[in-house]
Amino acid sequence: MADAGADLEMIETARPGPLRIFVGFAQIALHSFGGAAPWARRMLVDKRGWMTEQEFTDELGAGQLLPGPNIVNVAVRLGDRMAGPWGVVAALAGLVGVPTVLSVSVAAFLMQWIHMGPVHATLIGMACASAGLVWHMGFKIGLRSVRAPLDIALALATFAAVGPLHVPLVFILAVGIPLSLALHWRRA
Amino acid sequence: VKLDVLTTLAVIFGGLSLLAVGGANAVIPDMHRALVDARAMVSDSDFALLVALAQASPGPNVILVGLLGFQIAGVAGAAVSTVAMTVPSTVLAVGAMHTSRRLFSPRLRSVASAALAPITVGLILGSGYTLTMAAGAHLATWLLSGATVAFLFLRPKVNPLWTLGAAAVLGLAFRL
Repeated sequence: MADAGADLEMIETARPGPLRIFVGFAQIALHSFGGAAPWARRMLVDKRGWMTEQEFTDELGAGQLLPGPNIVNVAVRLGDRMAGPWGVVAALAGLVGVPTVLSVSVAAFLMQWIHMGPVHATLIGMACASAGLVWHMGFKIGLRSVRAPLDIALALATFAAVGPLHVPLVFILAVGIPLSLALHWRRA
Repeated sequence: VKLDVLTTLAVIFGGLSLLAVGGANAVIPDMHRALVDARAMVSDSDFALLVALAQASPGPNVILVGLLGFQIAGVAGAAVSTVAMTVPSTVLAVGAMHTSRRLFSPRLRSVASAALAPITVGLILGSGYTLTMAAGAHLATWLLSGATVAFLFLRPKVNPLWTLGAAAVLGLAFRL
């Protein structure tokens, strides 16, 4: 019996249909607090075997080169590979749809109380910490991948433009990406 | 009027979808510009509160978009905003998969990722700045944001939800 179960599991993981893709990505979404990548790796590589470790790393790298939410890019590409267009829809519905419905429900409930003094003070405290989470993410990636003086200058210029100077993102990307590409191409 | 609002949301987030190099957190300043500064669809502090809620909720960072859409135009706003933010980048990502191995040489790939890294880091730090300013832009919000960063570097293994909980208590205690 155990063997038959294992065989069935193998067959299912070999060709997951849209329903399994939906459930798999909903599970990832509901487990991930503060960034989905670590949970995605655990579920996709270790638990379900939908990707190898190397594929996951490559896909996350490619996801970061493309615009759009990184882990969502990984999900839709995997969904497409496993089950075509319906796989893409299932991956989006599970990874983005499910947590969005959940958090919007919580917000619908919370928004009635939001302007009461103590509730507001509590949430502003949380807002400061969530700003801190974003600062920390920036510093952490920066310490790992922005080390050359040229890169530090580019990061600081981008920060100043987008933060204190309020330059629209379109202009920053239109100038920053070609400039950075040219500088790195010469160095490579 | 409602349709106008939904169209505006679709245009804003559809555009941001294709600009979101470095993920959803990297475009927070532009969301703030479009929704708070340019159109006053959301107040500064509501924006900060919704980001806090998105951080405290499970799921990828992109759920912030649904929360902003909901605050502006209810359930329809949440749906339109989320679809607009995910579909254009999805089409591009799936489309690129069929061509990328042929289009990008390994060298171009590595140059591109090295070139994008400093830009992405700058954008994410700019998002941190925008969020601290939106939370109140006074000494206390900067101190609390800074303390969170210090804590996360000193205790990298701790679940970040604890920092949100601790900051909630501090916010209440000091009437932020």
